[in-house]
Amino acid sequence: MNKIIIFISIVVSFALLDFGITAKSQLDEFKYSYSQLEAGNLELKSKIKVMESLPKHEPVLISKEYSEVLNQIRLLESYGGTSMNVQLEASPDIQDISSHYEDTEYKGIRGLKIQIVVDKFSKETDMGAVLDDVHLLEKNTDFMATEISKNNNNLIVKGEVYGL
Amino acid sequence: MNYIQFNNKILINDGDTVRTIEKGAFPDHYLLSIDTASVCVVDVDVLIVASVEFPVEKKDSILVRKFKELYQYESYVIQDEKIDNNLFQVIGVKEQLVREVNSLIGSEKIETFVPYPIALRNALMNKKVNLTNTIVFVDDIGSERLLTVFDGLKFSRTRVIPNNGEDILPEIKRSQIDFFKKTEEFLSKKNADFSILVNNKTLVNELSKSTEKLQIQYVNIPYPGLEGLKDIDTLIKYRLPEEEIKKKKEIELRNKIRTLIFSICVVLAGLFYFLFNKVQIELVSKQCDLANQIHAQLEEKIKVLDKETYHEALKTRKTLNYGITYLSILEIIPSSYTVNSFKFYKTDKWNLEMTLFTERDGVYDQIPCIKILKDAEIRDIFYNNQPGKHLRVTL
Repeated sequence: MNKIIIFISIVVSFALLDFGITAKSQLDEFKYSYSQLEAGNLELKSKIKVMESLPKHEPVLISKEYSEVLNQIRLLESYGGTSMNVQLEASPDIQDISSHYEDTEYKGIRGLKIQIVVDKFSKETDMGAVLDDVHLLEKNTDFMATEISKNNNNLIVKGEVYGL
Repeated sequence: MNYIQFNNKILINDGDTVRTIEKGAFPDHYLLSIDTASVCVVDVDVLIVASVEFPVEKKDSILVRKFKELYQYESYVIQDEKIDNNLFQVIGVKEQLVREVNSLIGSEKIETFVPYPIALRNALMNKKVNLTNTIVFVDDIGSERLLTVFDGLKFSRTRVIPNNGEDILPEIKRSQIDFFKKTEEFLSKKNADFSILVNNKTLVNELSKSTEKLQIQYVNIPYPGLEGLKDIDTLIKYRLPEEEIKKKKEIELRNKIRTLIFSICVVLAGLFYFLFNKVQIELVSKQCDLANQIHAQLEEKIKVLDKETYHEALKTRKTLNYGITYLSILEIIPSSYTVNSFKFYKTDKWNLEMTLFTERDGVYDQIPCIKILKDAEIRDIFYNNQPGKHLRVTL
């Protein structure tokens, strides 16, 4: 009788130990997930802290920003006497903005690819001044150049306008 | 503690005084009022038996069988003690006597229940009496004289001789001869020499008057049976069969309870381990849920901040003034070169590639690698039958 009780208790306790070991491995997985989440949250918090220190502006719709870019180009044309032809690729950037700029995510911010072709240069046109205009365009709008090339008589500025 | 010697008369030592009480006249309630008692009984039967020591069951079986062969007409409660290798002294007390003692005192109050010879032997050993030789001890308790023969650990049945004034020496001799005959085969010394120990000085004087040359010695132990019960160290204790069964059942029950408790503890340990981990899982799971919620909130906050700060963050990345850079390079390049084409492009940093040609029959000057062109890669090219330079610099 005693042996049967001991045998049954050992079998039951082994079964419980087995359940306990399974539960322990689940617990370890949960703990690992939790630590990952906590680390992620800490990272996000520090990122938020940095972002909160930046000046804040109301976000702008991409269409509005595009008009702003065009206006700026016309303004620069009138100053420099250079003709700038803006070609819209009409394709939103399907790539994430972080693929262009490291350490950025900018969730919800879209990019619109545009190409500015400067094909009419007057003899007096200074290439340095035209390039300076491109930089000025970047400064005044949310346009960012990704490539500027000059071949033959064309100056092609490729870039994107960013907005909501 | 009370020390009690049972015989035809009962001797009781309550620690201070010794009382002698006749059995019949004894008030039962007196004994029942005793708290604890050590008891010895005079009326015992003894048998020396040779037997194997192990297994214990076999030894017990042999001892009981041999004893019953000799004392088959009455029920006995038997105990044994080892006196030599494979040699045991079996001491039986009549079951009726054990019942009588138990009924008078109460079995639960009896701490020690031994035969009188064992108590006597203990008293003699405490008095440093040499028991290696055969001795006959005469315990004079007044109306009776108790004769017990010892040889080492072995002892005889105690004979009770009424004190009626007759010479006791023949009885002493008879006891010795009887003992010698019964234990002859087990005795180490095969001679009949013996000495006499007496606890009564008058009797010693009487016996000394005998013409026979006997060794007679006085031992000052007035009640050796009662004295021997004090500080006795023995495993012997007489119990009735039903008490033995009850005790065995109690032991079995205790073992079962112990087993049950052990089993429950083992199961509880497993259960505790399982439940502990389960509870931990629940706790960590809740923490995970909470962390997930916080994560979602932070993500949402970052989304809002992204929209509010992207403008400023983009601005910080617009650091390169292409015009100034272009003009700085032109300042370094010798005037004999004309810029044919150039390209600003971005990898992790901005880069500039430029192709330069000289005017027809122009001077093919060396381009100095200074300032912004300090790390520039410059190589010769030949394009459309015209030599030139290809310049590449990381800005």
